Amino acid sequence: MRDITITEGFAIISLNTQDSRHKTVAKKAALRCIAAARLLDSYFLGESDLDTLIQQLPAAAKLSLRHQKELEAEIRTQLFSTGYMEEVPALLGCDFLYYSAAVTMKEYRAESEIFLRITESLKADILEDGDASEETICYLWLLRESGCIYDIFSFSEQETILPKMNVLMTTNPLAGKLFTLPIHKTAEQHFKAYLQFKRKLFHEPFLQGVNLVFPFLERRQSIFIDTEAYCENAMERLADVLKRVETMGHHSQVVRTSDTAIVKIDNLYYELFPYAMTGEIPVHGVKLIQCIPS
Amino acid sequence: MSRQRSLEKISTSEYVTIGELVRLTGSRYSTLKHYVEEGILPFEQEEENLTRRFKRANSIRRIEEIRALRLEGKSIPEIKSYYGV
Repeated sequence: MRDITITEGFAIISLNTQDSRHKTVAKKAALRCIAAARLLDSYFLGESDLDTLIQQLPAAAKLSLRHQKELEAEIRTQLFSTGYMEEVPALLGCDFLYYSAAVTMKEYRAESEIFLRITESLKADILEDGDASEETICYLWLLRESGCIYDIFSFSEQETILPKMNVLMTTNPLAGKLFTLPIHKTAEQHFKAYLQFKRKLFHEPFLQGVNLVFPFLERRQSIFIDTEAYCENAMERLADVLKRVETMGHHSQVVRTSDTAIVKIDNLYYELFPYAMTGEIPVHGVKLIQCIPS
Repeated sequence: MSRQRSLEKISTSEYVTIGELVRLTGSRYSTLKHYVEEGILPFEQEEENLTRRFKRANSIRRIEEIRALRLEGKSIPEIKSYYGV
């Protein structure tokens, strides 16, 4: 195993489960931040100084659609060739509405071991006592600006991270400049009333501080999978869902079966709830809602 | 404030951080933290709030042992008593 660059590591996290064939808001945000990650890698190689880096980063926010497409093709080739990423049928294709309409979708899937190593070492570096590395500072900023931070850190972990980020702003020049530099687009804000509520939770009264603008971009999706037979209990429902998911080419692993089941599918965790879609004929099944287990 | 150490460097270092143990072993951070809290993964820490350090070779060996014991079906309390904690 070799060291990976910030560009590679961030692309692995941010492109995981993203639509590989179409332009989506989430993917555009990820690509802008991948462009920014390249500048950060150049900075760490000594190819630019901090002031130059900060001047260049906003240009990443203005990356044109053509350049985004070129960047995606380049990073895709790079990650596919190293085996860190592949293209698979999208999990959303298992959703009843898409499945019944025979809609096929494709998404990127990160190789699970590399995904775990990157995300878990990042968590360890920021959640543990002691100083976080400058690479971790960069990852946190990129994850925040792309909206991916909510895929990686649970709510309670975010509450731990925020004060640490505010301290880093005062103790590290790179953090001080990065954390106050937004490159996300305000036009991508969703659920403003929800955001206002969340923002209050992260208000920092003493410093200008870092608001984890939460979540300006909703990357999470919920998926409804109809059960093909009437399932009498939770275990039967779970088995039926996993069978559908694996038939469609996804890797699944049961994490918990007590209370609500939690399943890991393609590096992300989902809680399973029995659900019925009402219509002329009710359709019974299971709703998968993305979560981060504590 | 430090840069992240390369894999080459941490593979030969006497002491590593928990994040570096994650990179070396592929374990989840929450798993290793749980082992630390249960006292089955020893560490050194100069003062509270400073980085915890783990002896690299011993810790990797211990993590592999715990994995093997878990695969045998041992629970954490049983593993704790195995190590005399």
